[in-house]
Amino acid sequence: MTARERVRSTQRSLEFVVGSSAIFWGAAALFAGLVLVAVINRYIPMASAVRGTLPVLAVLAGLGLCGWMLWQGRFAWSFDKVALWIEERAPELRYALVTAIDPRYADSVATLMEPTVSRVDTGVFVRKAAQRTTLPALAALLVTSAIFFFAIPKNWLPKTSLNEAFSGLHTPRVIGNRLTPLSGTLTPPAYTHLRTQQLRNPSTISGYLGSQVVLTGHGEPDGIKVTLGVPNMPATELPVTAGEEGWRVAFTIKDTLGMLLKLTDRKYQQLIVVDPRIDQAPEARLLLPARDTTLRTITGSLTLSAEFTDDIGLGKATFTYIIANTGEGDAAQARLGTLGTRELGGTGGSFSLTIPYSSLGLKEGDQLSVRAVILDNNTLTGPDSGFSETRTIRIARKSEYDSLSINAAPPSADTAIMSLRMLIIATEKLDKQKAKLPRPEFVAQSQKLAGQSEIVRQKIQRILDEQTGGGEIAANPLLTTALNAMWEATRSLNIAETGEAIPQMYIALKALKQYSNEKKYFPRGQLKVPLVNIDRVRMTGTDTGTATPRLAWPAVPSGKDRLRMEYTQAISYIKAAPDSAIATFTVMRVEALKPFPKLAAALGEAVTAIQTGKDATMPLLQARRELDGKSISVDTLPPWSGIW
Amino acid sequence: MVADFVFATAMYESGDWESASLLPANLIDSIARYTSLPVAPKGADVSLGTDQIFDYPFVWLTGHLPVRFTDAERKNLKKYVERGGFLMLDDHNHDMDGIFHKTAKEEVERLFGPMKTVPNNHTIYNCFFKFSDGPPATSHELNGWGDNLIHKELHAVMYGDRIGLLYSNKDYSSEWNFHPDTKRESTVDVTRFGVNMIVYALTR
Repeated sequence: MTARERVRSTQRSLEFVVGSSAIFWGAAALFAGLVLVAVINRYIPMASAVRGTLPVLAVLAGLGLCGWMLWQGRFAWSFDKVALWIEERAPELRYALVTAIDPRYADSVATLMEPTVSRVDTGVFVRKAAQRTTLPALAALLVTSAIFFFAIPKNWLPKTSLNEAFSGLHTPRVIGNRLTPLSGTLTPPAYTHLRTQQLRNPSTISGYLGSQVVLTGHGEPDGIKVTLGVPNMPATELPVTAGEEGWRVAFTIKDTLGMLLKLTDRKYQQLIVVDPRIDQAPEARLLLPARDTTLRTITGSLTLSAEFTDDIGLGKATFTYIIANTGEGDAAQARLGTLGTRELGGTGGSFSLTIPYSSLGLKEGDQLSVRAVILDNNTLTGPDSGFSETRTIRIARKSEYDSLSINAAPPSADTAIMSLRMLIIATEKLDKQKAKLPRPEFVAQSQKLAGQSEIVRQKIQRILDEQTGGGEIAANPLLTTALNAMWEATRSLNIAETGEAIPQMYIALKALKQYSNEKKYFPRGQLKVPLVNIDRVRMTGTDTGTATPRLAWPAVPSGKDRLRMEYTQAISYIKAAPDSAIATFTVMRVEALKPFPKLAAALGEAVTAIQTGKDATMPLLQARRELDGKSISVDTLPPWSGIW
Repeated sequence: MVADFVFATAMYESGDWESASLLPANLIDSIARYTSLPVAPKGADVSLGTDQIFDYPFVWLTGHLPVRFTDAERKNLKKYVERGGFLMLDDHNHDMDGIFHKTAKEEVERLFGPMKTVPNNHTIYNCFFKFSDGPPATSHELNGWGDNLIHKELHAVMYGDRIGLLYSNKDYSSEWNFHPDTKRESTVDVTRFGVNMIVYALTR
């Protein structure tokens, strides 16, 4: 290889090293720029327009650095400078190489210099140069590109990419429907101790008030609009942000009304019903005392017992009392207080206690009212409270009864109710054991209960006889109902059909309770009041007053009328535009959630059936029935109006 | 045929519902004196826990003792007021610290939510007699009975502008609880506001 060939070869290698280094550094700068801006955007979100220009800027930065590196290494494109570069690294040549390639000495001393030049391995110098420049550039490129592709979210850049920035030069990318598939989570409020639910393409989001909902989809967030509101009222727009793998929207279920979540992505739309579940107030049932009482003496103990239920969790249970005394005149004095407190938990519980009457400081004429009170664990909007019925224990005054008198027996209807209640409890208990007990034993126990049932029936018969005066007055229909029901119950128990007896006993109980309410004896009875002689006083007043005309109240628009109209319209275009019909039914469903839950349920089934391509006839018919009410049967046909 | 208006007094289990036993006769007398409304000469006592109350467009409820409605009474009361009935609930103690007021207010607000103040220019104050200053004070208020306050406003469960349940701390039960014949001895008939209540209930 001559000296000129050697320098030429070295020059080619150096051109490759400098060029590749420049390219690698330029690319590394491009990725490093994008990574830096992505990190900044994470903490200081940039506007979409700014993010759209970043790829262009990064390319320009990369090109700039590449150009600068090429400029720095421009010597590699000069033959003479490459020779000087070699001379610089091999001082032992003593400019032999430069002389050898000089065209002025080509014919004379070039051949004399060849042995000296050939002793120098220029490849070493090129390799060292590559190690110093190309390898670090390659490493920087690999690192920055790895960070960009694997650590930065793919969607942080809007798709106004380099291609679209030079729109017209390339075909724009087609973005499909970013609203499907839809996923997310629903996190109930902490006090409910309920787990987070996963959501997959939900058509309804149902959660307790205070639940946090997060919905995510693929693609970038720009251009997606999400609103939440009551149908036909102004809705609130929710912010849509970039998530880890796409777009993200979050909201809290705050309102007790059903709401419509509307997602729009260009021509695509999705409607989701937000059905808030209300934390129900807890319920309390006072078991003891079982009924109101009047005491002659303040002795003995008061036993209180109550059971409580709640849909989520019970809190504190307590018994409260009021002791009131009207005194001898009109002045009423009262004391309030609580008797015992217990923290319950779970969704069901009970609480009992017994206290001596003497501890309450009662005296003659006092009226002690007790009830059970329960709180739930709602820390968001509550706690909610539940109250039981009130039981009243009156302390009779000596002047109210004669020393020879005997406490009046409680009204007969009440004793029948008490016996019937015990009978129902016993029958239900036996009915539950039907599968476990041997048949002969079951029959024997059922027949024992039939005997008890017969006693209750006879009590009701006696009440009926008292009421009718032995048949002189028409029987009270409630007593007749109770009597007939107990006949049936007794018959069923005699043949060991406990399942048939129980409903009859409940019918009898309900009728007796209603009868008992109507015939309740109030403590002070009814007093004689004067009868007004209307004819004597008619229009004798001197102050005549001024009658003002009656105002007609405006008709309250029925929610169902409007829903009926919307339903009819939706049915008319259900085949031509099923998506529009689905949207209409979804909006109707939100409006009907609270006032007409059965209609909402039927519409929900109809929407699901239409969306999945199944037959929606039955749910649509059900919705129509809910809107129109039950069909009315007419005894006669309308007059014939046909044309003969 | 037009049925007579029957003045109904609510019977409820927990208290002394009959504490103003002469009030019905007094107001019946006033209705007959000042208006041409056909009115029955005697009032009726109706149990709040039964469907009987739905036969009467106007019901009076008063007492001194704690008010603790039963479930049936609560259910009936809510339905009655929502369907257009008019219930007048008067504290016979005239005491905002009293047990009737505390318990009755709790029961009403449990069923209907917080009560609203009736503005003094409401229709009820001018539908027959004119009361330009709002509800007339009672002698018990003026004499410092009970809580020693003159309550200048009444409260109500309202549906828009319509009063469904009118609540009073002014003790009209004591004010009007006298025999109708003694009315002629007063220069100003104190039962006139009662006439407004009944006319409002029947015509609004």
